[in-house]
Amino acid sequence: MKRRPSVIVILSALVLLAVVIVALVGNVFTSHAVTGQDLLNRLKPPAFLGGPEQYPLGTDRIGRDMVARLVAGLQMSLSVALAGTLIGAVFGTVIGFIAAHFRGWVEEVLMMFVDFQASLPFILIALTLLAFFGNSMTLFIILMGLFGWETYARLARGVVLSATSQPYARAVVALGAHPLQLYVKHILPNVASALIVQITLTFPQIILLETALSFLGLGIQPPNTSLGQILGDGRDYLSTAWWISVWPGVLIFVITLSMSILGDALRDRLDPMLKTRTS
Amino acid sequence: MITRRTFGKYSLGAGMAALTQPITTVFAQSRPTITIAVDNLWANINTINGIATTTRRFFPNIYSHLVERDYIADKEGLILRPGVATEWNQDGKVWTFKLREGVKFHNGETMTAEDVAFTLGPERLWGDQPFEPRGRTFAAGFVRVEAKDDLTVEIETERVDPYIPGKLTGYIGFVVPKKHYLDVGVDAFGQAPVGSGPYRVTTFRSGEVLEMEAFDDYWEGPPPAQKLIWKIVPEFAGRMAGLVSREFDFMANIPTDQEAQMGSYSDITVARALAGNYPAFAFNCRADPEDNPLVDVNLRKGMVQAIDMDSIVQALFGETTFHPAVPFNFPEYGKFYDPDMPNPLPYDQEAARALIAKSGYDGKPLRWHITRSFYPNYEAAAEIMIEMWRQVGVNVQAIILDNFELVYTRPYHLMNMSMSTDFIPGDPYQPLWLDWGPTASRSTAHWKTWDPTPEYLAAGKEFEEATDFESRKATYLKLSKAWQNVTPGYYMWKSVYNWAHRSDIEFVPRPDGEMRIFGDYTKL
Amino acid sequence: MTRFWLIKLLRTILTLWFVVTFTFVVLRTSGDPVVALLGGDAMPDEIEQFRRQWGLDQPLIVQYLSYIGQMATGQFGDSLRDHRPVMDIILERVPATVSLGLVAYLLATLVGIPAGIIAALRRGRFVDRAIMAFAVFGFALPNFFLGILMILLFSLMLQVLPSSGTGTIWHFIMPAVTLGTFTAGTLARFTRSAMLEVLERPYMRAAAAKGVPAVKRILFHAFPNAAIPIVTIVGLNLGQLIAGAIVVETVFAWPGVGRLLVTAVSQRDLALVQGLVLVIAATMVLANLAVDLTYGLLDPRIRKGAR
Repeated sequence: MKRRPSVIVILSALVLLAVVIVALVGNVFTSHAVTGQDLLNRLKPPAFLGGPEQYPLGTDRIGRDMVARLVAGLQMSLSVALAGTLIGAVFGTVIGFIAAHFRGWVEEVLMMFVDFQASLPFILIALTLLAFFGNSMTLFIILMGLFGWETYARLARGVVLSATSQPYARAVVALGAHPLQLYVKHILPNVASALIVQITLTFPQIILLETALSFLGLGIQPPNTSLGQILGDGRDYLSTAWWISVWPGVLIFVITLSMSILGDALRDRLDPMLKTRTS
Repeated sequence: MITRRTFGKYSLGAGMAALTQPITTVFAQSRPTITIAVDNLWANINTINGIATTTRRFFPNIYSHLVERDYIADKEGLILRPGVATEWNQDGKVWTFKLREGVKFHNGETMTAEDVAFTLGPERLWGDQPFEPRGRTFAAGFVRVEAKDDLTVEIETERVDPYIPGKLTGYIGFVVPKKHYLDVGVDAFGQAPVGSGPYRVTTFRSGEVLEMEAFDDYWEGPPPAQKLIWKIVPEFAGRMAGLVSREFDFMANIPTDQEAQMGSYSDITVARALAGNYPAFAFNCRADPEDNPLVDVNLRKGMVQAIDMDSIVQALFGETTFHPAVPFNFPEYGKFYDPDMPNPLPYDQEAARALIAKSGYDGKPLRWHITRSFYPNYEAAAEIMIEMWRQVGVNVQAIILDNFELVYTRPYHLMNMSMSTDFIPGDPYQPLWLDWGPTASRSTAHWKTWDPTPEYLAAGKEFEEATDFESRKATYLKLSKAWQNVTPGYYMWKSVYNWAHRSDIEFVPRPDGEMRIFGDYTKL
Repeated sequence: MTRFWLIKLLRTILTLWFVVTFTFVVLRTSGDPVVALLGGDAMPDEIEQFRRQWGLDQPLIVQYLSYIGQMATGQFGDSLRDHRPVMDIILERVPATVSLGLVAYLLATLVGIPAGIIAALRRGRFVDRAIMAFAVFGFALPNFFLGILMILLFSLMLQVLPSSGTGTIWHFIMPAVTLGTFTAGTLARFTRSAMLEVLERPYMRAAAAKGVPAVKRILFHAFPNAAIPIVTIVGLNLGQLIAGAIVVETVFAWPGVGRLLVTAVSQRDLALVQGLVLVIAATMVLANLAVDLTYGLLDPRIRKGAR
């Protein structure tokens, strides 16, 4: 039974598409450089509220164009979330496969890592490591990649365990296929839909995690910028120059909202459990 | 009908009446509780181990100074006034201090010369294993501190030191009770301190709140508030909202750009003081990393000439502070200060480019280590300066780090620093010699950024030995010149402390950041 | 059955040991805490003295063994900053966090679960869509931003709620709402799908056929069965609440464990961070253990040891 996607879902997809396009070609919207400063035009409101014409969305506290800042922030936030999500998905899935393949002590050790990560809120791990080792782009991406890997690992392991007990899997192995072939060709497609759903959940969570870390001062560091960083830096200015924090706030909100709605719709479609349930 | 607002006025009236009359404990019952929203406290309230901007705020409410800087009579605070020491005189290397009679500590004991000798002595500050080791810096040159009788203390120094009374206006001048300190130990004392100030600590939870109560046996008489509550509110929005809605009477630390908005509330007053402190950065002048291009003085001077600091300060601080064009020529040094001193390295992009070309700098990125949120607007200024350096072809990367340990981890080319100027009131000894000299951390620590040159060391020795003003000034200029020939750092602007408070409170801010909720400084 | 629990217990202990060891190694190898603690102007001999005093000059393995040894006797060391026992510092902050967490969770439950039930019953209708949109709303807004907006609105402009800190019931409102919003969203979504599953079951149709009133059907037949999977996410919720507390407590100057962690981390107080991580991990691991236990009691299949 296929239902037509609802208006909200289509809208979400369009919004996400628009966001991605803005991130890709956003620089055409502004002639200002991200770091370009105009000290005489600090904290100017957006042009439509009487600010200078050359700054459609206003300027920040050292007179940088908000459009240029937002585009750069958007690019950074999306790349970090994308990189983090993919690293986590690949890493977690591989670990899950390994655990299920080898069983025994390998599985026990790997599952202990899973337990370990599940025993601490991730922001605590990220906060501590970033503060103690010093923030760098590499560490930051690695951490974002570590976010949520344990969910993928559990998921992949579970699917492999149940799949290998199926007759077809035994048949494939009996026919002399390499185990790797079994995983990539036969099991991965089975687990793919569940993984995709999980990805739509992880992606917005990473954006929010990056935002929370920025609030604590441990997010992306200047000269790079991210939506979370612009939002965190602008919070003291909310009552005098609201545009600094409201624009990135709205962007974050819209992205996570659309992504979650899309994820829900995707789950309704792809998740085999739900499918059997509704049929 | 008594509303909340009018009630405030009534109690205020009572408070004013109490101040104009001889104060008795009858009035004490109606004294108000004052709540102060601060950005942070500190882990302990030891006078030396607890040194921080955030502790100096409340220290004088707990501890009394031996000698006071009088900021009421003189804006620069260059007039010294008796604290718990009433008179002092010098005889060669020996200073004698007479103490006030009948000064009570919060535990009821009377202050004696023993307490003062202990406060300044080797056991606590400058011996082999002192309780508060950082005291060594402040007590440099002390060789003997001795109680001669109940109310007389002698301090003997290595060489003639005309500045001892001035030094006692700083952290080492806060008197602690010897017996109690030794009974409980330095750590416990720092959690529940006992001083002889106008308020007595009742509750201290370092990450949260500090509460104190009026100490009516205070030697200057009972203080105007019954209770002071210093409460940490980390977010500016929370401090502001709480002050506007009258949950708080004071708040400390307002982002410069928000001052105007705070001031726009009719019942809130913004107070501001220029601090005895300059945010700065140091050039790493040493060949560590080996290929450090900053070993060439031309590059350093070129980079200085590329900074339009006046515009930066104007943009970030408006008229509230200024950039000292010539290092060490600071207005707080009274007679040493020359407002017309020519600047040998003014903002000049052409000159900067020429110097940089001469240095052979090849565009290699320079790492600027910055401690996050250490000074207001430092990161913003850094971003502007990086843009200015980019314009003259110097590639600097700001690396914002979470604490000093990371900042001190090599490699780095530039580093943020704090430069205080108030160790000796009215004399440039601290920034010029104590901070850069042969014993300073920036020339001795593992992260040191420069090696003092022979010229600088020789000038410093002369400066240290000069005691009369004329020779002091001459040697100061010579030493400053020697420093500028190397240009191992750059002073950015004078720090600003700011507060906001209920307009019906009269509050006099001090450049040392002290919030004295008593005496001539606060009228409730 | 007993073996099942024994293995669970063993794994719990192993996980905690791993947390302790991991934190210890990471914190001690990340660099010297002393400079960060003493500030920028500390003199070399001052640093040396501090390091000796705290045993930081010992080899890592010696420090580790002595730490484990201390822990065995219930000692978790002293804070490097204010020199008080770490556990004392943490325990005096626990009540604030627990009370805030409970209020927030209560709020989230009171809003989230009924919302989820209603959405399930009105599946596909406007009410369902609206509730689900609101649930997503709950976690799409960064919580510190929500918190600051609330302070500006309710404390600065309307002046009806206290801006920060603790004291009265009124002080709970803004932090609890900020903290609970996220959890309410999760709960609503989870309840909805659990309810949907139960509503499809044959016995629900049978009950309807027998003429059991709708309210009774939902409250006494459907919900208890849906509650089983809902209980399992308590562990997840707990993690969310602790993570949220780290930010929310900072925004509202709430004197709890979350804010303590933020300050301890920024001040590089090794012992305190170590203690905090352990306490939080232990709480979460034990909560999950308790969830497993409850789950076993609620679900007869597991009770009979069929797992």
